[in-house]
Amino acid sequence: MDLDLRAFVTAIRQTEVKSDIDLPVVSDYVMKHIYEPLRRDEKVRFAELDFEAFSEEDIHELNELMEAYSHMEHRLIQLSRRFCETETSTVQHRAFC
Amino acid sequence: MTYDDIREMLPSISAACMYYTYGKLDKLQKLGLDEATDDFYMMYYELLDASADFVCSDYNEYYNTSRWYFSFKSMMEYYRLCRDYCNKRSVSLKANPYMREAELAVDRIMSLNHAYGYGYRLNTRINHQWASGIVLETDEYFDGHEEVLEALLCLDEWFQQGADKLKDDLHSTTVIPFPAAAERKEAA
Repeated sequence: MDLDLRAFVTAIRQTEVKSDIDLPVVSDYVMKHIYEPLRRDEKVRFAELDFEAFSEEDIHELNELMEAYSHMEHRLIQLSRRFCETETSTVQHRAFC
Repeated sequence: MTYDDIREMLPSISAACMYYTYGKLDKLQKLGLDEATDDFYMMYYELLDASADFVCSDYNEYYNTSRWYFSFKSMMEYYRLCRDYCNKRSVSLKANPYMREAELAVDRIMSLNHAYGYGYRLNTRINHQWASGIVLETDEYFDGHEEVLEALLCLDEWFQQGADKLKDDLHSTTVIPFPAAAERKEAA
């Protein structure tokens, strides 16, 4: 069986190429004490946060990072969907033996 | 939790950070808001209620606008002290530099980072409790929700500092007895 990759190749060619992706830089404290617990579905309690260790600007940067990750994830899902929707065809000749 | 779910939680953490900066994190905790939540708008109205010493609001269904009134003990004290200043210096309220200073500060603070869909008015009277305050009117396009919270915290802080400054100014104006008058009194 073979996959008709023409649609897949067309989709890749149509994808915008970005050689450098500028991701926001988020402070270590925010990544460790806010992002990672939330990612694990754990609660973030205000009494356990050290508000001297980060600012509202750091939260804004985390928001931008999450937005960037969400877009990247969405594009990967779209690409994966295209690949899954690719039609199969029966190969006329065996490629081995 | 997905990346989008995490984004939903961040406004509540940002609000906690802001309240901490103004030394009022305990206000959040007293409201039972002690952890990150994805329902910022539920939290938001409780925060608005707790953001000033006196709050009242109403809603106009026909025009789809909300009107809020916020007053602070610090603001009431400030404007009472402004009247004291006027009496002591024999100047009118219009000529009182502290009145103008407050007006400029309120204009700056209530700019709300150029948000849409709102208007406000500053009341400066002291003829009854909570007579001084801010009237805030918002429509359905209003997008300065987080900015309003910070503005109210900032106003309270500004008027507290302003009242302290006014008190210092009023106390520094002491009456020095005229020496000749004192001597004549003794001689008599």
